Amino acid sequence: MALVALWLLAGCGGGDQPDHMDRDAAIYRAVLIDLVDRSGVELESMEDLPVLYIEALGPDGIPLEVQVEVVGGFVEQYEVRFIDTYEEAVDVELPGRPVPEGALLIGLGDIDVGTAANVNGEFYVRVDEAKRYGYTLSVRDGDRWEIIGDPTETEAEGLVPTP
Amino acid sequence: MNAGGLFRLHQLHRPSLGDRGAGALLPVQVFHSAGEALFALSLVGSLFFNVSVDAARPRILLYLAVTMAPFAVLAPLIGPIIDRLPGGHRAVLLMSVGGRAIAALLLATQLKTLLFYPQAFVIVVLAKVYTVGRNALVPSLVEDRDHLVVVNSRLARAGAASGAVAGAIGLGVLQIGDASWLLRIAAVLYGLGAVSALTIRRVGAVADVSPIAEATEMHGPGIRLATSGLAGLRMATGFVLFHVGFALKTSGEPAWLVAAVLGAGALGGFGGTYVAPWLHRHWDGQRVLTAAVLLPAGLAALAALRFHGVTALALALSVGLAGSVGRRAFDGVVQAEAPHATRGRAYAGLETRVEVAWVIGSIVAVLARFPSWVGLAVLSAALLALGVSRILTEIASARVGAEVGAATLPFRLLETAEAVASRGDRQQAVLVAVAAVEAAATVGDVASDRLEELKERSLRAAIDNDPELEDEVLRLAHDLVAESATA
Repeated sequence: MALVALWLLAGCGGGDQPDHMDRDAAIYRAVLIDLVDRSGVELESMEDLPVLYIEALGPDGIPLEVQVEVVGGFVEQYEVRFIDTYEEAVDVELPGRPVPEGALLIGLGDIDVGTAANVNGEFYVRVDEAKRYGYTLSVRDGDRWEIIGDPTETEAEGLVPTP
Repeated sequence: MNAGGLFRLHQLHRPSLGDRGAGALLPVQVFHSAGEALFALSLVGSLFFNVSVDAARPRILLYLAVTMAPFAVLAPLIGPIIDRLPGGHRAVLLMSVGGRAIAALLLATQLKTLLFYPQAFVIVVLAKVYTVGRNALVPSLVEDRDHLVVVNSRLARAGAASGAVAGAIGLGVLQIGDASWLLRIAAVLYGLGAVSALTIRRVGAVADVSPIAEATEMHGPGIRLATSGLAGLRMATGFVLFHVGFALKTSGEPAWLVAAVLGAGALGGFGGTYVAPWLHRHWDGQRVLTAAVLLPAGLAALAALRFHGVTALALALSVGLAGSVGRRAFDGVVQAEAPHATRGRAYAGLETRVEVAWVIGSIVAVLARFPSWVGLAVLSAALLALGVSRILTEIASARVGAEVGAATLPFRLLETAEAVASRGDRQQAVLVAVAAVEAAATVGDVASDRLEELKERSLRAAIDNDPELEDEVLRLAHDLVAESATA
């Protein structure tokens, strides 16, 4: 009986999720694709799946449900790993504190939703190779989010602190 | 392999367990452990490494808490099922191993979705059910009670060996496929384990063992001390699994290192089956358990000072070794101090407490959010405190034991009487019970007229060979000894 109850709970524990989770995941996917493109790092040439380390820039963090959606969205192209601290992605012992070869560290900010969604994104390869962009996105065809215009480039705010 | 083939396989391996009665458990254990190794290896390709630890923590906590619930229910359920239903033990093993086959198949399609968490925990719960069920079953299967330690040790060794082989094959599978294939193969192995459980001989319902004698033995101070030691080790195992797993992930260590840490734990368990007999030749079971508690305390302190891959591996190895050695010591204490305990329910209660300790250790690791060195320092201090308290308890027991020997003699005789009665020899039980009351009269206060009454009744019971009168004498002896102690 107890196991049946556990199984039923298992069915409930990971089922449907709120619409805003799907929306946030779709927004982050669009921003991620653009950031990888702008970083100029040749990720596709690697033998194994290239690794995208993702750290939340905003104070609210990124909910587990959104993380799982993003992971699932790139399962064929990238090994997406959400991290809590930059040390998971960066070798702090090496000069320039680089990410491993074939990897990219990306920061994703909280999503500010109005008539369009605003979100910050940042990529990091090493301390002197990082950029931040401000994106505006709008929804098309009901659930597809597209970046409107060119993102605004700003100074990287330090995903990884300089030593 | 069909059921007939499996039956021949277990016939072939019967002598290797050292007891014909428990031989059929061998293929179940081998298939289960092989599936277990592949399940553990598949976690390397799971969502665990894709999502952030902080985001996953509430979900893991929820399912760990849910993991506790079945055990609260299972404690009183598993034992009676094994005891009352002829072949009930098969049902427990079939349900747990067969359930894992289904759960592994389902998990194979959900490694990167949110369903990963609940389904993985279903597999974990079923593993605990299997462990509780198997350990509760072995005492009723062994033909010779003195084989309990040997049988458990050899089962553990065979399981560790099959797990190592399966793990090596699993690494090869990962080179050509993804982790979902490991779970599909694990499902097949669990399925074979479930089928092989059908070959375990049917054990009839246990009817001739006195629950009083069993309960008296199983709640003795030696067994309580051993249970707390083993529970401490299991708590440490649960804590290390999650704390070290999180610490390795957040320090950016590769997934293969986490797999290696799991492998080191299994290797330690395997080594423990060889180290334990050597230790037992020099020390008694309680001292071995104390040493087993102190070993990981030292390694945890070392890892707290400098946490990296090597110290994590050493800690996992020591925890696996200590858990295995502790388990063998625990079996030895039970074998020596509870010789009449054969019922599943007597063991299921102990085993459940031990598994709940594992869950509590895991919950503490997830909930506390310790920095890696703080968590390891806390673990070291907790194990050290447990080890020291065990040493002090043993010293106190040795000192007090000599003083209270005479005072406890009536109780020990009474326990013996109940144990003898449980084996069906009521006349001899009556004689021992009368001796218990006489001993109580020597060291305490028993009215002489009541002692005479007891002797008269016992004589009449012997002459008439009246079971009801014999039971009456046993009850009266019990009351007189209890009254004497109260006085």
